Amino acid sequence: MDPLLYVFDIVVYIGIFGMLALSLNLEFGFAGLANFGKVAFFLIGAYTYALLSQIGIPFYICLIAGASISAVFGFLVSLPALRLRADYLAIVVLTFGEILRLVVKNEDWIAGGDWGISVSRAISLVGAPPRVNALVNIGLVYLCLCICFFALQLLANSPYGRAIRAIREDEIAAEALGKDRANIRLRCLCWPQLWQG
Amino acid sequence: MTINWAQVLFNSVVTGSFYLIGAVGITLTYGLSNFPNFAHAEFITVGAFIGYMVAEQLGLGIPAALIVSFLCTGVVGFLCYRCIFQPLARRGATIIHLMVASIALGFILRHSIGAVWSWEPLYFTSTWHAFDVGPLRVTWLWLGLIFAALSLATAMHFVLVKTKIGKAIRATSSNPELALASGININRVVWITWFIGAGLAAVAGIFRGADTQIWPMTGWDAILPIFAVAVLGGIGNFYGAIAAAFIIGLAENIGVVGLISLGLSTTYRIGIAFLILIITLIVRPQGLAMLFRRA
Repeated sequence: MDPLLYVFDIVVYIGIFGMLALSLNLEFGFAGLANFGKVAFFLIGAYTYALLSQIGIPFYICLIAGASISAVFGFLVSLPALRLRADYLAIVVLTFGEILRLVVKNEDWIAGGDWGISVSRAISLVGAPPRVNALVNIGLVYLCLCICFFALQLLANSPYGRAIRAIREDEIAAEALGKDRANIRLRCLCWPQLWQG
Repeated sequence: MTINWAQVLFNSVVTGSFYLIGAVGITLTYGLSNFPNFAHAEFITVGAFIGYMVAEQLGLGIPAALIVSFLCTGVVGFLCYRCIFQPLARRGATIIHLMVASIALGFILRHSIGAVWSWEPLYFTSTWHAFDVGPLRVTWLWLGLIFAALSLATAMHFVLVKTKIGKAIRATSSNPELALASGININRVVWITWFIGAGLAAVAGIFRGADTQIWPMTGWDAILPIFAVAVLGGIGNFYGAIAAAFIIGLAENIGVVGLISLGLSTTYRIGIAFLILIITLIVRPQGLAMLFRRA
């Protein structure tokens, strides 16, 4: 395999984990909620994206759909979970992630169970060499990362952001968190590749 | 399809026994150190692998494996607390820091085990012949597991109620400052609890391994139901844990019957424990504790 592609792969992972870290920073840093179930929302987003893109829907729509569905789940989980103490919250979201993993692994009809499904690249230029394609996709991931970063900056400095921080100091969490936690989930979807269950 | 309800009940007791042995460590250390130790999963795995080494690679049999593994894993548990969690707590780590540390420790242990013994499943070679008692199909291993859980429950009851160390554990768990002021050596109490808890996790791991297979994920696969037991029983509450272990064992095995009749995969059985866990945390986070005030 082309060693350069391997490097590109790592660069992409850096971007993806950057977005995840931003997301966790919003929840844990600003709101004081340790979310150990991040992987669950990551998974929902990724699968939504993968399934939609398989039936030939353009990638940006898949991206938005993945993010929104993940957001809805985030919101649903947050409703009961936010009433809990930190350690209980951690156990609940962790458990939620495990349940989800069980479902995906067992229901082969959703996405091939254990074997996962492979997803084609988000952007594929016809006739371009693989390296160029990889670069384009890296650009896409980092574009998402930048958008997320600036969106979060805006959010953090808005009245709403101050409200979130006030909540952290106060230990009483508002359900509003649910929506934002999801806003970030989308980026994982950007990098189309073999997705293991 | 006719359902053999006696068998379902018996299986529930077997499952419950496994959960009880695994959960004692969690619930006691959670109560004493005030954080959920996710690395407890790896104590189970470590115990199972040490047991495998003693029983199979050295050929000393299961009883020797249980004893050696109890002691070795107990020391591992003690060292983990002494070298990682205690210094962290002393430097003012919050519950979240401790949880993250325990998850990280779990990863390190799990992948070290994977590197040493490989990720392929290993099987205990001792075979357990099933035989029928009335309508029941049993093996000596299951009977041994039930016996181990019963003796554990009895022994722990006497330790907690009659002995000095048991009273010290209960005192420290309910009010550390007062216990300290009463001249209890809190550190020693916590160390002993971590030792026993990890040792018992090893015992649970060997039984699970001898019954099915072992691989580096053995402990992690079992840890959330075990948390469910600890939480349903009330954190730090030993008697609650006994009741909760059998309730969850029963729920899981009845659930299996339900899943089969619905045509769903039986791997969802573990999901039933998860549901109980989530519902308990949301509806009644103190678990069954109020029903067992004495502990």
